[in-house]
Amino acid sequence: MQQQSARLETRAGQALTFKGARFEGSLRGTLFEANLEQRFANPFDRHVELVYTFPLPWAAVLLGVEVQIGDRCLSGAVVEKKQAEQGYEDALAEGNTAILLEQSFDGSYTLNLGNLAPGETCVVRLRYAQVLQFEQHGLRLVVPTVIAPRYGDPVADAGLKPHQLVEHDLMVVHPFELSLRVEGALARARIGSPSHPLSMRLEGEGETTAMVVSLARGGCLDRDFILVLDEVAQDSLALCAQDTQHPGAVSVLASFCPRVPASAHPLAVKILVDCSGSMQGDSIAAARRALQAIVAGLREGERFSLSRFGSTVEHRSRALWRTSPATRLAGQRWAAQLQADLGGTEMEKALDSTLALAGDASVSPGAGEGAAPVDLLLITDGQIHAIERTVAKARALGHRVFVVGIGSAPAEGVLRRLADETGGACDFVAPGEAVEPAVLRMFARLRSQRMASLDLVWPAGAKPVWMSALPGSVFDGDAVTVWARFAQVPDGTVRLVGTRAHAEAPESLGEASLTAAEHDSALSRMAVAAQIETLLAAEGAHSRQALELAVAYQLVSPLTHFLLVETRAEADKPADMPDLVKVPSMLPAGFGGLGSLDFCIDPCMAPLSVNEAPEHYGSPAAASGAYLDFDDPFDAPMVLRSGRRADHGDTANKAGTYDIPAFLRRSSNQDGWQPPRDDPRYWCAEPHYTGLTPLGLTQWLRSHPQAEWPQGYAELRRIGLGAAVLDWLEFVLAEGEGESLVVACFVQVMAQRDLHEALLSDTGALGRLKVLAQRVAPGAALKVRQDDPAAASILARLQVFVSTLRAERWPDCVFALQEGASALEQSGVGVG
Amino acid sequence: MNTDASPSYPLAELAVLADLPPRTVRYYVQIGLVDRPEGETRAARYGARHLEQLLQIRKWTAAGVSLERIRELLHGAPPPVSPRERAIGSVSVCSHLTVADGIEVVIDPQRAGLSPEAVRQFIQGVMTAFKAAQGEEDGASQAAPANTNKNERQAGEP
Repeated sequence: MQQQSARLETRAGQALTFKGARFEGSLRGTLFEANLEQRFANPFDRHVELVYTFPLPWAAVLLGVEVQIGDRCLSGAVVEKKQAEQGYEDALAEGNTAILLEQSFDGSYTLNLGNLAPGETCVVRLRYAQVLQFEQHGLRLVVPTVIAPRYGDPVADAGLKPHQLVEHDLMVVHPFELSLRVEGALARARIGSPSHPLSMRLEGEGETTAMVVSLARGGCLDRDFILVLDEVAQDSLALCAQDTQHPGAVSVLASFCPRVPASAHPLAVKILVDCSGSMQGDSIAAARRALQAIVAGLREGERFSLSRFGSTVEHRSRALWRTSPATRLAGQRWAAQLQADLGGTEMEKALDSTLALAGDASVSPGAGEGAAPVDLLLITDGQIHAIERTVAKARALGHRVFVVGIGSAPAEGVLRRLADETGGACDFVAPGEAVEPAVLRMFARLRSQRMASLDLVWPAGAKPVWMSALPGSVFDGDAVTVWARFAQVPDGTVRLVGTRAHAEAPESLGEASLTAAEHDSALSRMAVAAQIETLLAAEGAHSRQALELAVAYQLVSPLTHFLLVETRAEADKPADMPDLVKVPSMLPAGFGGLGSLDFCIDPCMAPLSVNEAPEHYGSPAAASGAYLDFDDPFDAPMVLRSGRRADHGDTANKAGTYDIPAFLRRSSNQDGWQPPRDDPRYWCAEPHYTGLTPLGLTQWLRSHPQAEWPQGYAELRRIGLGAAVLDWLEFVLAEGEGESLVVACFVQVMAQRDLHEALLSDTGALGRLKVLAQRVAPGAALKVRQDDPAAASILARLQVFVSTLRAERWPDCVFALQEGASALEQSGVGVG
Repeated sequence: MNTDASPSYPLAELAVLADLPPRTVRYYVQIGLVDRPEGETRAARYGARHLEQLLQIRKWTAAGVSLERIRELLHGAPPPVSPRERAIGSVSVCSHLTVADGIEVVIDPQRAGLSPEAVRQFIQGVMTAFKAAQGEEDGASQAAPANTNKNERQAGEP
């Protein structure tokens, strides 16, 4: 139980094992080199094994590890994974000190400090480099500091080992210092950070100018550090670096800034929003703002759909909407009501279900003129463990996936992969950052001309030994980076060319002449790292070549780990296995609504919010995933399922405690007949519509006295009419008329006895309904203000609407937010 | 298996027998799921009892039971079937949440099988329902239907 007491001490902040991180970096051109220093200590009186899992930036290449224990500087080597693990275990069994740095397949790193003696300190210095990508004329440098809690099973879904799992602790604070040098032309860019307040100082003059950026206030490892450089002149470049292993050979980094004209096709996009619990708080607020901006930014004639997902998926429409004032209003209302209340993050299922949304021209007539392929726009924080499965699913979709990543520590790796592997693009919004620029950038990409194929033309005679794959698509202003390795130094100009879908000749998108690089070793090893990544993606974990390259170039990868062993004097060796101390991570700022970067914390929510991570739920129900299972309607007693009292139903009242005593019940319109929720004729529960069916509504109206009939939209909603029908009434049918008139007309029409009977016997009897509609002369059987010309117009249009009604589903015009008449033609086409 | 037999395997051998990586076995020992070995560092030996514990853990983790829960189970907590009815006189610890003066919600999340997240959503629903009910007395009743939906989702949880 020493383990337990160790943890308790840590929680109280008395004996911290992780003293904080210090980050130094320099940005030159697009090459960013960084040093990350992590300081550890053993405050206990026994030997400990410290385990710390942390992120490095996406596509960062770890170039070196230095360790200082006490005042001894030590260095190790990168060896094959199995060998490293064995060496580490052996060292610990012998009582020696060992340090193992592992990289997992999800891109996270785990540092194991075995046998740190009592009172000893340890400093680990990691050196890494990455190439930044110009995106829409700006650079965005992200230094991730923490891995957020993710949804799913880390062991089964992500292939992590139990000791590598990240534990989050609300009480710990890990200080974070940062200092960056922005050198050369970039020093004159507009520099800012949406995540941290900065202090900046210009150093040097002329060629040696550098902007030194540091944190104005002390930071913590609880949010990504983001540096945005704007108003930068971007250039294509091609750098050659001498290979470190083979003299004469070179590695080439080519980066292009393509110019791509806007597409002539109207945009068609399916928007999918993550409403899982982890989005609670700032994230869902940002998602709402992003959606508002997206819906407002859509142009007439463009098509879109809205869906949200968590454990389940809900679609706002059955097919893509054409952008019109009505659909825009409905979309904005839908966005404003978004809540992060859908539980887990079943992204795979959601992608599947969204794909199934009808998006072809045949369903939305009028899209015939150059039907653009449909894209998918995903708004999420990406906190999932099942990365591989989700990426594979997205690849199989055939849609390009565009991602807007949200939150203070979004899972950049997952989201980048989702976008890259489907030919889409990725953009991020930090809490408190304006979403509009990101949305505008996304629109620019979505509206960019598609290229059917991309090619790289090397100078005559130069043939690369290996070259990284070109991206699936190019966007105006988004850099395209290519790594290549040559046996001999190539000379000349390299060009990026693209061919449009129906064009014959390829067009040049960018060109750069090859020049020698200043930072040889970093670049050449980064090229090899890119090659290893390609090999891993193609051949999986058994790639022999990847392993050989990683060992030869000393690169930490999922196949190779860094190992350092220090032999201790016999007297210093512990007698026992070291105590395990996992370094807990801080919870990302504003995660899951736990406090907000926009607002202050609501005190009454705070105590409930501890332990957000799905993997932390200890109950057996949680462990089996049952608490997230909303799919099975039999999970819940009837009385809970309906969300309303079902004591009129025939179900045995199992959960008596949930019942409300009669004297407390609202005695208004709910005492009459209630639609049985398990009868599909009366109640529809599908991803795109939940609520009363046409038959359900007519039945309700028949079984309630006229005095209780709804008189407004809110009352209609309360009796169980779904949002889609309400929006259709308000945005399409009303045409500016008042709420009470519209609802009165609608209710009167729906309450006709003939209509109810026709629907009741509905077996596809569209013809009978048409006859019925003709019989209902304007206002004949209706007592609505007949003298009102507005009512007459509404009734006339409702007639058309009624004639398309089926018992169990509302007509397509409701979901397409269109006028009934045009929908009638459509359904006529569909039926005929 | 005779649990009284003197422990005889080193960690590496035990790992092979249990078909788990040595690191994972050591991890289970460190977090107290598996008993500590007998003997010092190099001489540490594991026996049938340790193997039995490991196999049990492997079975449970494969079924998706969390390590925290396994720790409870191994140390004598009740089996993972939550009792339907509480015995008279039994004691449980619940959270009392004040919604408003005079209104309190009592939750035993363990028994309700609610995640902290779900509890919070539920409470938010209760809060809005209360506000809506307050508003309704004045004639306004906008917020009520939204709550109904929320309760419905809550209801899906066993």
